[in-house]
Amino acid sequence: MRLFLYLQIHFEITVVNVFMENSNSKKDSDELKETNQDRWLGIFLLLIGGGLFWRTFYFRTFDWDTLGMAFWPRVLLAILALCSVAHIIKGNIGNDVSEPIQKRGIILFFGAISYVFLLDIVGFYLLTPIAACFYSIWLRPFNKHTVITAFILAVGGTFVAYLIFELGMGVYMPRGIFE
Amino acid sequence: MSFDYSIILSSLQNVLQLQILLFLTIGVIGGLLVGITPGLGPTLAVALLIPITYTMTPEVGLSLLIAVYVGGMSGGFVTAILIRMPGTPASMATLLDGFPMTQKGQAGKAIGNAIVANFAGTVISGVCLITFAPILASFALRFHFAEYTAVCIFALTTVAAITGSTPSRGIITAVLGMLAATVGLTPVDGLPRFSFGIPSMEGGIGLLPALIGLFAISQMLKDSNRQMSSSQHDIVAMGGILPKRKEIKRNLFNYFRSGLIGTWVGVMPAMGGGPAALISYAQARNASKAPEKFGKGAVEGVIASETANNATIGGGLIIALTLGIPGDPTSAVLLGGLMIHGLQPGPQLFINNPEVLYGIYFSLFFSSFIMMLVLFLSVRYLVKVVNIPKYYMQPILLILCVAGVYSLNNRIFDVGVMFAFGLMGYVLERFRYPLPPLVLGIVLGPLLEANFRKMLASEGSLLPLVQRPISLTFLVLAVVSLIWAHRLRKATMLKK
Repeated sequence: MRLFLYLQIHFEITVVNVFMENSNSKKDSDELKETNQDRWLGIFLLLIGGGLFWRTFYFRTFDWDTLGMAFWPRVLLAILALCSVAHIIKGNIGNDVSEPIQKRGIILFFGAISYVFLLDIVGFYLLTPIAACFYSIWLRPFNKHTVITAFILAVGGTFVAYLIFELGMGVYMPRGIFE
Repeated sequence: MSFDYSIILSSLQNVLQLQILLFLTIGVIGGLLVGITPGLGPTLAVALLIPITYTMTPEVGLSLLIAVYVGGMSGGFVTAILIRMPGTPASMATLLDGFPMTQKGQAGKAIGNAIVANFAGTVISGVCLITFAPILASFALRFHFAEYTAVCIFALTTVAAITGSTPSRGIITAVLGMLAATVGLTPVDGLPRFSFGIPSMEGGIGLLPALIGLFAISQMLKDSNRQMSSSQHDIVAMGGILPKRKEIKRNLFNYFRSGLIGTWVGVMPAMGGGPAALISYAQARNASKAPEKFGKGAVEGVIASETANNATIGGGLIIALTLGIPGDPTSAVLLGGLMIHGLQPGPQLFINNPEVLYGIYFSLFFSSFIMMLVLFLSVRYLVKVVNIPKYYMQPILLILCVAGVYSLNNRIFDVGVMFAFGLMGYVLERFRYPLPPLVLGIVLGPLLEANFRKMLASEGSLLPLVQRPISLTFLVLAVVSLIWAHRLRKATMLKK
């Protein structure tokens, strides 16, 4: 009983402390910058979550299963919605300032997605050296030496992958145009 | 359990034969290489070796398989510490502190401690395997849906410990992980969910593509933000490798606790090294006098994670050998290896073939010792990987990641998942959202859902969770763990 009382009192004190800290920290300009990013992410997650929640109504249901396969995703989406709303309303989630998303990272990601879409059409052994070569050149200032080393690396790396996976493990990579 | 010393001695003599020691060394080296390579793991290596061991005697064949298992489980930490790419899901918790240590010029220290931790974990679980196998196996049999649900809830409380100062961000990423795990066929009904009519989506989101994406690809996206000239690349200092005696002494309890956690999690079917390492990491943080250092390069975190990760080997073997129930995929393949040699796992194995059983025990000990030796001898060369300029290293890594992830299921979809999780990891990290809870969600989400729904279907209520002693114990532990983590967070904030 004493332990329970102690835990209860401690919990109440900490809740009050957290509330006080959050209200005090709103004054900090860095954190206000942070709030916007948390808020935008909260809105994004709420929209995505709403879409997924709507999708759960199209899951198949069975009489013999009271909960159904929509139960678990709905519980998760409800928690996600609660947290997202808290982020949107409350803000000031942390004291650390987030870093901006860099353009080069996003360009690389779109390059990677293009690679995935082309993999089945062009084939691993043709597309991978080209992609790896471009990637290697892209990481460094452009010159003749860069191109030569990038080419050697890309072809060598693909050959190593061929040795390990195709010859060693018997995994056949997508052949693409060589099919 | 009684010990027949003559059988023990003859098994020891068998394992000490030059031929078996040679096979153990080859197996460990092969396993380490497989563990280091993304996409390949101990399960694949053991499965590939089974046909080769068919012509060998059971002692030799099983020694080789055990050596590969130990090597494969241990190898994953090398890339996790050096380049933030977990070779296996079990080494995910290692990179939380291992990679920051590398960035601080303490790669040698991180790897040295991880090697000792791997050895300690295997030995602790091996001792448990020899002494408590029947007791632990009967304990594992008392786990039903309610107990599994409670264990999963307890494991999820580790989110509080690995989140840092912002719990709501940790909850969001954990929920995102659990939501990602709901894609594909449901574990209970076997029907597609969130597949949007795309056949590839029905196969679900694999753990390894997600893991490599979240940590390795996101790091590549981060590193691509600036062009690097040949004179610009960072040279990372290695520091000392051998852990100091004082350091080992200070962490003795950490080794012991993490070894027991790993063994216990290993005994429970379908849990595996990933959750074991994370639970152990969280407990090490809760017990630490300086919890604020975790996630920024605390050697205690590396020790806790690696000890628990390798201790699941012994735990998995306990339930596999005594009951014939595989605790993880590698144990399942290993059981296949036993059966190929005409050995039936289960209680009869202890009576009919004790020499094989002791052979397995000794192989486990010698493999872990050889693993430690091999890693200490090769670590100076392995660490040089960090100092290869990123513009040389990253294209090669990218090729290996793509090939490794594709080789898991021969699906291009998995490669897409890897890149998508890469972007997700990149954005979340930029916004200071922690990534480990997301992985924990992917691992524990399906287990929690399946057991929770089965419990409700069979018992009709939530009461078994508090009526059954084991599940109640885990729920109480979960609450205590949450309160403890909360107190630690408060203390850390006050220190700041």
